[in-house]
Amino acid sequence: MSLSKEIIQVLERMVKKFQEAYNIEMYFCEVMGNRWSFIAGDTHGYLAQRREIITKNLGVMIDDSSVTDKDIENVVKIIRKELDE
Amino acid sequence: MSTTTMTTAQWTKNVIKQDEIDRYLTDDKDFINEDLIWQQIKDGRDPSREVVEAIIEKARNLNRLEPEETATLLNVKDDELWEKMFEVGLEIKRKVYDNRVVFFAPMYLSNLCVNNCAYCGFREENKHEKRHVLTLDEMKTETAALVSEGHKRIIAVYGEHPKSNADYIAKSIEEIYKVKAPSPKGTGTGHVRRVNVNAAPMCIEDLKKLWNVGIGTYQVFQETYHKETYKNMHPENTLKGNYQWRLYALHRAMEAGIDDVAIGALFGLYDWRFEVMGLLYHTIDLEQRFGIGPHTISFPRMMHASHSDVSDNSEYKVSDEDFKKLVAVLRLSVPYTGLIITAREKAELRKEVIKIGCTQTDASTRIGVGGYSDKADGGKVEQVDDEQQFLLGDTRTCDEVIRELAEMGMITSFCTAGYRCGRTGEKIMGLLQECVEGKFCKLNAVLTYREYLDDYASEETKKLGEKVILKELEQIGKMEFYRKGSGKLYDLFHKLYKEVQEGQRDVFI
Repeated sequence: MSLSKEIIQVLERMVKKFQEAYNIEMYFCEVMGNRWSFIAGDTHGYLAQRREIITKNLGVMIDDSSVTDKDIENVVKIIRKELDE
Repeated sequence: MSTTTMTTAQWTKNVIKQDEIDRYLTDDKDFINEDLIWQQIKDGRDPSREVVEAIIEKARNLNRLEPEETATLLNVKDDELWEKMFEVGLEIKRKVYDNRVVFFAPMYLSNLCVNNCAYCGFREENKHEKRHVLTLDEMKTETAALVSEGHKRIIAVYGEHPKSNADYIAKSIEEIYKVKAPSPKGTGTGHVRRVNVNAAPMCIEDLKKLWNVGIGTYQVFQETYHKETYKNMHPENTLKGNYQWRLYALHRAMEAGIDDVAIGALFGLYDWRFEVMGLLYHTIDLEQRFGIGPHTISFPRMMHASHSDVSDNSEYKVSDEDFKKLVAVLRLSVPYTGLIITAREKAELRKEVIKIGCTQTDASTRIGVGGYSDKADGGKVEQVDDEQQFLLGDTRTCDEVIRELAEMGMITSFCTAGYRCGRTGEKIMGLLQECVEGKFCKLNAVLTYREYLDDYASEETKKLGEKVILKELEQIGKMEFYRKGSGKLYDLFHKLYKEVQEGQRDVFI
């Protein structure tokens, strides 16, 4: 795993925040070629279908069953901004 | 000593990193306690029907069994209870993985090997074996030939040798992913979507190279968990002679980031009941240290190998009857893990154990280096003893095996979605244990089966396959699970299914 523990902690915090504030479920993956490896987020079962690339080696899977495309765009923007900071 | 020999010898000397063994030991001991295993098997003798039924019930509820419980099942003598275990095995498989059997193909890229395993045709001392390491061009041709059979998931197999080291393996994974080949019917283009690897144990630094190029599952079989037998089969002066380096190969893979790992034992080297216990202890140690058990368990039986007396005459050869039993006990002991039955076994037995709960199998299998391109070129079709690691029991084509599964009412899946959607590691464990992954499997099985029927299937197979698809679509339509959240998933599936029918390829959920 090439992402640091600190980054993974940030990702875990974001997952929690989106879940608590907006009821949006998601999990993060480290992307290596074809492989998206789970690295942070909820390990339980839900229907995450949206694959969004955040950076070259980081992707997020978002459960889009009860959110709009616009919501997802905003979520991705917020994630990128938080990671930049 | 020649320069080449020196280079190989130097390479060999640097492979094993003792600190990458020691860090996993507890009080200088590994997790295989032979006395304890035998004691557990002994203590489990003559179990009462009630005790056995309670253990079966625990497995039916998808709980991983404890070693004492597995040892008890291994001692069952009552045929009725075995029949019950076979039935519950399939029930568990359906709960966790649904009605599909995933297809893969082994692809041998090299058979140069520095080891001397007594049961293997590739051992260094076997001078009858024809040796080859595929070049980049050859691996492209080989991949295209394999893809033309309809395969999407391969397990790339490598001998342990400096010419097929971690750099070679990483490069080959990249090359295999790039190859695209038109389907024979001209309806689509196929490519390998998941490259799993069966290769020798490596250090963490080397494993990271495989991780960086998108490896699927990393598979290392312990062969035998029994230390004395291991020593007898694998000379001490060889790399493979180091039992613990091999035992912790997958622990190192986990540390390197590869969170899909596969274990296995070669049944026939030692007492099959002991090996089942070894596989369970391996599972438990991975679970305890990383929170993740093995993605799959393999249980190949030793087959005839070129000029190997051991492969023909072992006193521990496993009968068909015991083979079915060991598969059933593994199915019940580790309900969430995939079980692989390969073309080593004859067609009739494969059919029987698939019904006990196996989740993956292979077909159109060639296990010579370059075997698929040889066949595509109109070359060798028969098996050649001195060009293979061992001899196969079933050489039927994909189309034939898929047709047989369709006759059994089972759907063949070429799905590779999970590891492309982060359903790996802890995530996949959670999904499997909650029976959610099987729901994804069902949808992706239908999408990839549609592709296969349209691109590769014979008319006879397609006809039977259509019936299977109709049944699956009907079930999907009735399942509440897919209607959650205003039915977005159900709608998405139907949109993708229509796209596949119209010629779109490699869509997944």
